Amino acid sequence: MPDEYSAIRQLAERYVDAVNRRDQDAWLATWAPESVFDYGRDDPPRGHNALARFWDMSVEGMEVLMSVTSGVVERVEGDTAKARWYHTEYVQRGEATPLTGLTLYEDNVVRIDGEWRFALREHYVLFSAELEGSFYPYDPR
Amino acid sequence: MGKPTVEDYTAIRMVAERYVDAVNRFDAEAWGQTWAPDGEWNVGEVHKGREVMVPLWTQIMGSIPNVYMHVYSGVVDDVTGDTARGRWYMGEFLNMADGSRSMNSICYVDTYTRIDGQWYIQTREFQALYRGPADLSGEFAKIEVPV
Repeated sequence: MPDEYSAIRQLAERYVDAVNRRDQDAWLATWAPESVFDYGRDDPPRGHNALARFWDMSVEGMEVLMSVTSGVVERVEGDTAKARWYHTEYVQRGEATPLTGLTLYEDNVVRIDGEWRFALREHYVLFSAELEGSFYPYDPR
Repeated sequence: MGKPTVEDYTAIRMVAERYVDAVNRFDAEAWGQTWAPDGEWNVGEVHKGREVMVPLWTQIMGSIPNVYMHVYSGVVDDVTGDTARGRWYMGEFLNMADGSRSMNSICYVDTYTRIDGQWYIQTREFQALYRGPADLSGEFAKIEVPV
């Protein structure tokens, strides 16, 4: 189980790294081909094409910094697993007030050709607060 | 004193994360399962044994409208046979029954015991490093680690 936990944790951390770097290809690579991102709205994006459109509409142009803080891998059965990850997030969309908070991802994860990917991510906001401060672009020297 | 293996570190980290997951889901059984049967929970006063700690935790949690915790980081200092020492830094979003709210940073100073291949919390001492609102106008405290 520690091996699966580490591998699935790396998947969750690659997801936030891709968001933080605005790397759509890396983000899509964390999803299984027919995966679903259920963020609480009707008709959630299913599959890479829909996920890419969702990214274009939501992540591009958004100031966002995420990090995985805690999580558990509930169970592993063959090449499927259930996991739960808590993120801290710092977000600003347009001129709206910046927010910080804690979010929850309830995940179904599948192993395809030895690589764990998300099959389903359910996203929930557990806590949010207004934030004072400035965002800076991810721009390493 | 022995340096923890990657597997020991990961397994103990999983205990720390299962603990906060149990708090967030208000799951008394899962919370109790992170403790050794004769574990000791030091929150200013010491409570010993799952049969004492779980009902007390359930009572405390029942009086708090919302609490969400998360692990920032942590270390496992040493592993000697089936015992270990570690520390975990955590964040805590707290909404108390009196309406007060805070974003706290805390540290758990822990010892662990391995029973039948599974690590459990043997002792856990709560230390508040910051308590107060998000604007950091609250109180900071220094961590005190027993030698």
